[in-house]
Amino acid sequence: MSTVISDLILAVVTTKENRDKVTGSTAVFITEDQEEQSRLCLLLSRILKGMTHDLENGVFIIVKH
Amino acid sequence: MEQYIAQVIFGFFGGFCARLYMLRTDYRSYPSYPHGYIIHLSLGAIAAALAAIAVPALLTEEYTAITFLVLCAQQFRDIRNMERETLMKLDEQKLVPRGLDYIEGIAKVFESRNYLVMLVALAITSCAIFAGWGWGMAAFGILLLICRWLMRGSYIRHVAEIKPGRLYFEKSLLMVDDIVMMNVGDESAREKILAEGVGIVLHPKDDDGRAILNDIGQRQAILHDVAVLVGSKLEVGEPDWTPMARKNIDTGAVGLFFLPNEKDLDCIIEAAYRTPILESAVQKPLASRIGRKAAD
Repeated sequence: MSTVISDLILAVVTTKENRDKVTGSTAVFITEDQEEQSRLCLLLSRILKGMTHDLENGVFIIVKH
Repeated sequence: MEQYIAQVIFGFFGGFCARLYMLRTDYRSYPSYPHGYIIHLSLGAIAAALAAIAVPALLTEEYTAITFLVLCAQQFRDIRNMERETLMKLDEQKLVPRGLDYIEGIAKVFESRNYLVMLVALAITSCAIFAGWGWGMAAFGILLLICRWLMRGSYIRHVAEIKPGRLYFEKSLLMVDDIVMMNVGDESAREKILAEGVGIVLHPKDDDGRAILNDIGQRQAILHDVAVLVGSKLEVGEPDWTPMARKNIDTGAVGLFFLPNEKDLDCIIEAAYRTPILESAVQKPLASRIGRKAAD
């Protein structure tokens, strides 16, 4: 049986105007606009095999479940 | 001992036939591989042979033989472990796993079927020896019916009513009726879920049903069976399509979200209805006075 870490925030994706809402040790990606943010979320979720979650304040997180 | 050879052979074949009869491959696709059949048929044959010899050994006062028979019968306990280990290893590679409860149920069934084989072989050999061939044949027929009765089990159909649920988003939250399923952040995933996803709600018929649907293993079994029968679009690295079942804590109803290969609601509901109720999930609060009073 393999051991995996789950329910872990792998990355945070936010736009320039919302960058003050994010802090901490997780990788934070700052984007120019919402379009770039959506695209980056999709790419990161596929690369990291995680799921994009919307915190509804302009901040998106990629979580490994 | 020689005078009972015909009855022993009859008992052996009767038991073996019973194992063959109980080894059915259905949509749960297990065992679906030829070697699985061989393992179970071989063990069934051994069980039948052991049980068929027991009564003649006793009649001819071969007590050593009987001691060995009891010793051999103990080995069948390992069948459950064997099945559990195999299925658990296979489950690790499944996108929609069976879950531990389902596996434990299947493992138990395989062990118990060998004991049933022993019962059949023992009973028909005894009948053939003490009452004659006619009674032996009759016992064989009756025992096959008993085996069939024992194999029938209960299904979700007996404890819950399933209705289509409204699948929608409340901001970023995916909902099935009033049950929150999960947070979906990806806009394109939301559009796909709304276009191709299916939501159904399982309403328990009573408090016993509510207790069964409350079991996480039972919910996983429903998801697995629906995924096997209808097919799921879930893919490695794309958790947005993960089928899931969540409970309405006030009513006990369980909402189920699924992204099927074919959006056929009737088939999905029927697949959920046909999921067997797991032994480990069965709880009967209504069988107790306190449970009945609390259910008022």
